[in-house]
Amino acid sequence: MNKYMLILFESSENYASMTPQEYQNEINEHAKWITELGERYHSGEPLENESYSIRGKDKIVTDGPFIEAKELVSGFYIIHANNLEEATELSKGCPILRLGGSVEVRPVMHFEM
Amino acid sequence: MQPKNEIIGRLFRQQAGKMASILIGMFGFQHAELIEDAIQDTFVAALKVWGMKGLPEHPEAWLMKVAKHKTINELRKKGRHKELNKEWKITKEEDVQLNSESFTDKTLVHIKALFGCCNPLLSPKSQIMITLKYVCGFGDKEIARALFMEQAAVRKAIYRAKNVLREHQNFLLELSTQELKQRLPIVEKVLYLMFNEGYSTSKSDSVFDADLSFEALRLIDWILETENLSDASTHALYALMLFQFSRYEARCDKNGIPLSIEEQNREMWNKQVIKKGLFHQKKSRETEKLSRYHIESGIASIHSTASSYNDTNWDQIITLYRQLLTFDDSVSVRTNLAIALCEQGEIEESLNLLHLLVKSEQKNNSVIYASIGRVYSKSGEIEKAISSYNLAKKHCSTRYERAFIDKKLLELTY
Repeated sequence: MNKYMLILFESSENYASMTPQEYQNEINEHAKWITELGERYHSGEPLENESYSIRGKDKIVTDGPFIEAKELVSGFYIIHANNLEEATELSKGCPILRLGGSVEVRPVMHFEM
Repeated sequence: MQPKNEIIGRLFRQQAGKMASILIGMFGFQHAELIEDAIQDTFVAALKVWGMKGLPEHPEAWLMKVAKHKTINELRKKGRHKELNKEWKITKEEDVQLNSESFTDKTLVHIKALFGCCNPLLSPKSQIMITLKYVCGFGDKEIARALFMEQAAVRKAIYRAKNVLREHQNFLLELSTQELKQRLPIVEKVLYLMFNEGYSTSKSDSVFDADLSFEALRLIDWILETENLSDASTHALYALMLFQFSRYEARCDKNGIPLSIEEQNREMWNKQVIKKGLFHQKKSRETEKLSRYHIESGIASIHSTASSYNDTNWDQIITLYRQLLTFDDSVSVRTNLAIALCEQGEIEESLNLLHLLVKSEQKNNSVIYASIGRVYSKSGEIEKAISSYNLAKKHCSTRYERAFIDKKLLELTY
């Protein structure tokens, strides 16, 4: 089976006015999804919002990613799947989608060396 | 790695309240907004980290630690670092409690925050709102739903209350147990109102109602478990709440329409809760000084221990209601007294009392008209009963109340 990276894009505003109960429900949704993934789940890391970007040969450092982009990369998952179609199907269960986020599914390059 | 799952129902809300009250206890109401933001950030962090990696070993301690950390960081960023050391008068013992992974609900800081929220400078309703927010961890949305208010109005009221408290709450942590105890009657009143808000309202969305009552029970339980803080009236209030709460499941039918005590299925009353109520009622008698809660829990216990509606000791209930009038000469107490008189067969006195209430500017009170209807139907004056219930229907405010009256009208015309 191959590995796929699910890159999560979200606006931090999605979480701005939640009640504690709603946060809890969201966590439960995530936990439920990961349980459903079972063996297919490999790993995942959330990311902080603060960042620097370095660009080009001049190595110009700027604050944060592109400010105009409302949706930022908020984290990633790595899952196992047989093919891109199946990985995409599995990604549809990701709870951030319900809140208006999006998920980019990318196959991790893999070659026998 | 396989993340662990599922956290118990109310953890976050309870935790939000606990964190807010502990942090406000530590840093004061003047930083309430900063603390709220820090807690919000903590939940977002929990959502992301726990969502991906599963629950930490000690979820509560994790949240508390992160929230404390974030608060201190923010204060530092704002150059309030000096203030930190100066104002942070938390005792060593309390700090140890906070850092231990098993710190309990009953930390003294938390109790102090509760007593700080019940500040007589605020209106009773504001006290309830601020307690729900900073001690029980309700969001503005939830407070609005629980108290039948607009969310904007809740936000405004809390903002105002916060401003009042900001000036007077710097010394929360310095309150001695003795000083805390002086505030006990106010705290009891707030919890009493909070419980009643939760118990008396009936909506389809009953989760929120139960929550208010549940929170009030939880808070009073803390007070009782804190050394040298409670007194006999606290036990009486707790007993009263328990007797009411024991009927929670039985108080509405399947459609959420309220059932009178007479109509309730006594099998559904929670015997364990009643037993606990009786225990605290007994405890409450270890005093000379009676509070209104003593009398009210007395009335509630008579209902709770009567084997059937007809076996209820109305004589004793009437005596207690008359006694309660000396504490609280209100429309609702008088109405209840009238009902008890009616059950005892004192129809004339009952009707006199109710008609007097209508005359004394209670012309729009649906409960009084419904009570008059009840007395008339008891005495066989069906025409008058029907017209009273119709008046009640004209003035009632919720659809559940209307459904209740419709049912009565149907019974009469049947």
